[in-house]
Amino acid sequence: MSNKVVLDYHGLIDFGTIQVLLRRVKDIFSIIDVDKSVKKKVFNIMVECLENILKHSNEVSFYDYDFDIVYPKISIIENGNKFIITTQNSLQNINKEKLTNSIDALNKLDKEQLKKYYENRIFNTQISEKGGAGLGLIDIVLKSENNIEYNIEQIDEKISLFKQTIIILKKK
Amino acid sequence: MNTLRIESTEISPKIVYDANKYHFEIIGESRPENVREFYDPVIEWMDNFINEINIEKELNFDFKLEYFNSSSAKYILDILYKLTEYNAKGLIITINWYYEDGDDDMLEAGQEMSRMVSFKFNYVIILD
Repeated sequence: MSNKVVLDYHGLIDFGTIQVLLRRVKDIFSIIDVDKSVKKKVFNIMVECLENILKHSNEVSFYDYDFDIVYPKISIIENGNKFIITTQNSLQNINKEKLTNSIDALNKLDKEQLKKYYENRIFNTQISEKGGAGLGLIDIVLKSENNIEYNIEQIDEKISLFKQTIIILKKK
Repeated sequence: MNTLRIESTEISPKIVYDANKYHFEIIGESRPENVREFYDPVIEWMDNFINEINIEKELNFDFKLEYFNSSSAKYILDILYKLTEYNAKGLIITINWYYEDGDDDMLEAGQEMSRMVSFKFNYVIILD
């Protein structure tokens, strides 16, 4: 199945960049023939991915590591009956376990359990200084209706590279 | 009390709380750069409004959101809780939750919010 690239970006992610990337995806979506609700789903998940990256973007200094490691990547590929969102960003090793535990826990839940988990979280969470409510990952799994596939590659004793893939099926 | 009016941007919704007509609405996309900075004044306005409620009137609230991010969801829930407080004081409230035809995620988000605050919504489909 041939891949059609909707987005392929590697570089600095700040609030301004996110707006540029979202506009670009909106422009492409305005001309491709895919169900509007699927486009919206892909867009929504993309926002959560980018905001998650942004919230953790200051954890690794570009003085200490190469461009490839410090700067995040995001791609959106249309492939047959699905869209594939892939992201990569660095994170500190001390945060690795928390993240993988969260994803592993979410991946085990079915839709009803995810809704319960979301409800429990939204009731009990406070908006953090970084503007996060801790709901982004749950939202991604709920909206994609698929597990988050991920891989973590340790770079050194301080940091690792986190890569995730999210698949969004077009209308069943 | 003055009407609350916030114009929309590419990243934040238009909010109009008409304190005379008792018609409140939130329209557009919600993913503000600083979600607290955007929504805290809205919640504050709602906290003040509760002291001026005229239960002879009826409040209509239209949620016409195209998209909201997960941080905004927390505030939308807070707004709904404020409405339930108004309702507990005796104000009759109608909540209309708009969603685009085929946008099951937005419909489901409304249904979940409705369940969480134990308040019935009207669901209004927007056809192309």
